[in-house]
Amino acid sequence: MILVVSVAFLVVLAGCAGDTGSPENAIDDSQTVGNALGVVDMNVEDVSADEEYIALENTADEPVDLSGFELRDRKGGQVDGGLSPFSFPSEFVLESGETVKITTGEGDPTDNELYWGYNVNIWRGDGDVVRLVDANGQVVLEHAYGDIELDESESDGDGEGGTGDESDGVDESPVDGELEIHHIDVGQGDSTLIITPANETILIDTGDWRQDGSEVIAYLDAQGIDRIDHLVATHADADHIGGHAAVIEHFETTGEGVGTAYDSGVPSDSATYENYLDTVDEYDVDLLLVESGDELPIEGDVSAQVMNPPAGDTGSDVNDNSVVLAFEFGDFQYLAPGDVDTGVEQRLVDEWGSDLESDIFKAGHHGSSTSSSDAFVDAIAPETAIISSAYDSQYGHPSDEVLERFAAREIETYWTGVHGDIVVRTDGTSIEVETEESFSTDAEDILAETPDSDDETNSLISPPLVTGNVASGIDGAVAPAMG
Amino acid sequence: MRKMDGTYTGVVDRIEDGEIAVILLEENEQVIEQVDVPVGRLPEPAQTDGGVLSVTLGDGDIVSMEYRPDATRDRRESAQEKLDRLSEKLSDREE
Repeated sequence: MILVVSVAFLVVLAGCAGDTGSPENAIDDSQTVGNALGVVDMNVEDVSADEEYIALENTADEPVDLSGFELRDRKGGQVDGGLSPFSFPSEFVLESGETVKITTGEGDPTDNELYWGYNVNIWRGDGDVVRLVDANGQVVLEHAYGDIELDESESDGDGEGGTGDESDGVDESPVDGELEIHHIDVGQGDSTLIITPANETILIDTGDWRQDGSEVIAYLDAQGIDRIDHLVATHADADHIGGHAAVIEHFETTGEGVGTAYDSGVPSDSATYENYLDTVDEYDVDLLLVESGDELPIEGDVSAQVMNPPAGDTGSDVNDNSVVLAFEFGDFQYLAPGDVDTGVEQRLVDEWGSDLESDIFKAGHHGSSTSSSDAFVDAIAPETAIISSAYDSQYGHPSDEVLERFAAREIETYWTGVHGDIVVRTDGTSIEVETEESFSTDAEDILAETPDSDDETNSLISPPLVTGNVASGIDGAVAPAMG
Repeated sequence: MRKMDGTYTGVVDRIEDGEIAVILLEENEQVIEQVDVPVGRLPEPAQTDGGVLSVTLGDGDIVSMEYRPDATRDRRESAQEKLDRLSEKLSDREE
């Protein structure tokens, strides 16, 4: 079997703010735009949607280009509740000293008056947060009023006290090189390869036991990879560590080996898990247990924050102790939450707050309804979500509920079931997604495509088991991929 | 091809979405097949805590499943011991 990534489909998700072709002299660096604007007036208490407005003034000496910017309320507010953020019209420029009024209701826009187009109120009368967000989803202006106070968990680099080195300079990437994240299409399972600008490789999970690493090894070989520096087992289920033993054996015997393996510390009863440990033992691979607060030791400008499992004794639940990783590179963040369920998601929201905010979110547990809760998705506020599961998932992944949640938030959605291998490339500012197969990234289109989408569990009755298509264990592991 | 017959060691790998139990069937300590059953079909203790089963197949269908408490305990102890022996905490390594 040969797995070749064809460049069938290329999407530029978010260019840097300087690309928008704005008029001469207009400020177009998004943080500078945010700094230039102030909320100078509002009418939000006991008013109808047609009367409700907020007004922004350009306090800088130059015009600002608001193309691509969005206005929204605080997290969990009306906009998160299914209403769309307000998008400034393209090429909308606010001159120095001028004010623009954004009315919630409907009307005909002018240079100084724009309309959201809703017949319900957006802004809470007794307190809310006005947020201006740039084309990359970065909050560049926050204005709280009434009973709401901005605290660290609400603010996003725009608050006081910080050095500002995260939110400034959006027009220029603060980091060198490119980070690649390859979501390998392993059917009903997970496997993600990350290649850092320093050419370190991080492999997170290795697919289902039935493939015994073959798809993953074939993909890595096709990429010319001969060493895994960091091999992560998010948790011990056989659809995540199914290829671990084979991958270790492959790179230890025919390549440059495996640097360090990382584990959640919660073992499984399965022979698949035991094989993985035996192979770690056989090839003397360093095995490190990680917990919340750790960082994977990665070279260069890429950081990998461990957010779960919690520190200390954490019980024996395999999924809930999944390793959750947040990768940061320049202004880019990627969140990979393993198979944690909504209960753990809530704890992560409480503990990590705005640290969860990410451009790209790997949907937990293959897009199952056990994960990707409203609260978690809102805290991450991703531009893009990526789901790894089989087209004909026997467990009904991804679930309708999760896809509907992504659709309501207009999150670009990729699914290995229709897109095949999904590769994200970023220079720390702009993001490109390349897929093996061409398909819509509208979550509603994906929802319509999922087989039996109204039947969550479509194969409770297994076909009779037969001998002859019996998969090999570790001993025969590597051979199929090498051919 | 021949439909599977006989009694196998089966391990509950996971329960998907609280509904479907994924059982891995073993031969000579290697996983050879997977069977998914509604979680309610599992023997009582395995429904909440997984574990090791004896799974008897006839003509490729599950005829019966029996929970094996001793095998479950032995395997858990052995996996934990192996993990403890091979691993250390990242935070200890860094200090």
